[in-house]
Amino acid sequence: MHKLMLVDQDPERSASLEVALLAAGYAHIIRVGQGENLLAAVRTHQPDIILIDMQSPDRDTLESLRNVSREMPKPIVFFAEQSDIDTTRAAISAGVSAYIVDDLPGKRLKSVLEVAIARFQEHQKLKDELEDYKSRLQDRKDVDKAKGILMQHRNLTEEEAYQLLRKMAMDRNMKIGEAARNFVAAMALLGGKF
Amino acid sequence: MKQELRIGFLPLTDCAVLVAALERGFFEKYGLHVTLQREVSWANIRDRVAFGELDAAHMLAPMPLAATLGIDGLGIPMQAAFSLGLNGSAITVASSLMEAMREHYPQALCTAPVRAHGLKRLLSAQVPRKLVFGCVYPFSQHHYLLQAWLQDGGLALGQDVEIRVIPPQQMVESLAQGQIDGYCAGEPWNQQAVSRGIGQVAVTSYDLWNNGPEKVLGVTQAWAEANPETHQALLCALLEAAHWLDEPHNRVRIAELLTRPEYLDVPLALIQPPLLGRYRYAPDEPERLLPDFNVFARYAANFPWHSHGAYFLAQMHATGQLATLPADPVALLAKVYCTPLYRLAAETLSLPYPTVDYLPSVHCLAPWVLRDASQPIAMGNSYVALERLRL
Repeated sequence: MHKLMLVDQDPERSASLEVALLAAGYAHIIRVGQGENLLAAVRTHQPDIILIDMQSPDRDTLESLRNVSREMPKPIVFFAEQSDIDTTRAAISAGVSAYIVDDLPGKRLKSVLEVAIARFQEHQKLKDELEDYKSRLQDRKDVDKAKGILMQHRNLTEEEAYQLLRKMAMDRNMKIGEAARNFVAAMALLGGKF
Repeated sequence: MKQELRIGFLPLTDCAVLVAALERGFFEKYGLHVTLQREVSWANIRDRVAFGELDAAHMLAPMPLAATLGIDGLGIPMQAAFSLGLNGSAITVASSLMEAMREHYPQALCTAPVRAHGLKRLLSAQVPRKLVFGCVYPFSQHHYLLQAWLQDGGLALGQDVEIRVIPPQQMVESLAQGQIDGYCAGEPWNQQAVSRGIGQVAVTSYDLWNNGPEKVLGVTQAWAEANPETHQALLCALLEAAHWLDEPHNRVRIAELLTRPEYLDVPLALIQPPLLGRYRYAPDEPERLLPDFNVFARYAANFPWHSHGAYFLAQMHATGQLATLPADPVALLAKVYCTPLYRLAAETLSLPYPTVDYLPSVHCLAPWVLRDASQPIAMGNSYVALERLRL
């Protein structure tokens, strides 16, 4: 059975990738996180495949080792034969890079990569959703604040204040949250205290 | 014409041409909407360009050649029609080693440029161990300069000293933690070690090979073939930006822009002095004047000389990166370093350009005038201090 090493600065993603790889039948998995000495770990564990997060600055160091000694990893060179350019492209766009030590059967590495790509994408989606949720929450707060100011200063009902904000946003081709933030900032500049 | 472009860079002072082109509106002027994307490693830059995630990138000058030769990464052929500048890097040595040399072999530090003999003598007496030096990437001028400098001092690679690849922005931390004894990297990463008192600059690239090659704008050959108009627009924008940058008062402005979090994210004091030609070798020394520490446009700095390419081939061979030299190096270099594209852009902007591909005089002690050009071009001196670098 091949020994896998996961190098990922994001512990959550690394854990979920490990689970998926275990489920796919890879029993030997070593996880290396941020701040750990990657070179020492490679020397100690001698993995056959290393999966590394592309945002890890250790990438250049890891890659250069192939010039130094044979047992050290080399990049996914067999993809160079253009046999599977799509998988490589998908891996790069998901942010994962793979290194192998010896010429492993292409199928095995491909399945490892596919699991990794899926996990990296899933993780990115979760992160995007969280960002989206956070920004929507912030929008709601700012809209409420702007509505409050409008209601107080122009004697408007809540619905009227909201419609006015919506119109402002549409006229300026902005999102309503953005328009509300601009409005609150402008009022603050004019000396209002809210 | 493709107008939306993503261009990758590493946080180094010599990404200045790209930043100037964006912030001063030169990209816009040529109809390009560019996003600059900061990357963490040269391998990322290479792979993202290779697979079209980035349209173009800040690359070490030998990278497109190594990719085309198939000895780096996936071997997707690349090319460069524009050099992003000359000089700009240095070799920093741990302060403890510099102090030990000063104490035991002060003579070794009195040569110009400082040679590595002092380190070799320390090894046999005071420091009975192997030294470790960092370099930014195997296919880089930094690597070749570092090897040449160490070997000139009598240090045997593998035996006395080991060279390890570390991305530039991690060098200072690696030095601070004692994982390396020194390194060769671009700014601001030498000035940062000096300002923290943990390292001192032994020599700059300017001392070893004045007006030597450094970075280029790299694209894949497939991209260049598919987007000739965009490529020309990009070259014109960069040429204007490089000329803008060689005006001293604009150096002050670019230094401020480079401090921003999305670019270098380090204090102005580490970026501005070298850009203005004031360079600090050691914390307790006054700054030295190196007016050409960063050359962005003068001396035909943006021209992708084939002579530089031929030198890279020789270095790749000498360092064992390339087992056999290519059968037709002239054709290969013409494919990788695209001088006709550069000339076309210079012609569009009515700027002078060389009409030859090989620098007539690489090793030259005094400023001179290049007459093999559309109009004569003033050239700086190009003193090459070490034998190994004259390959």
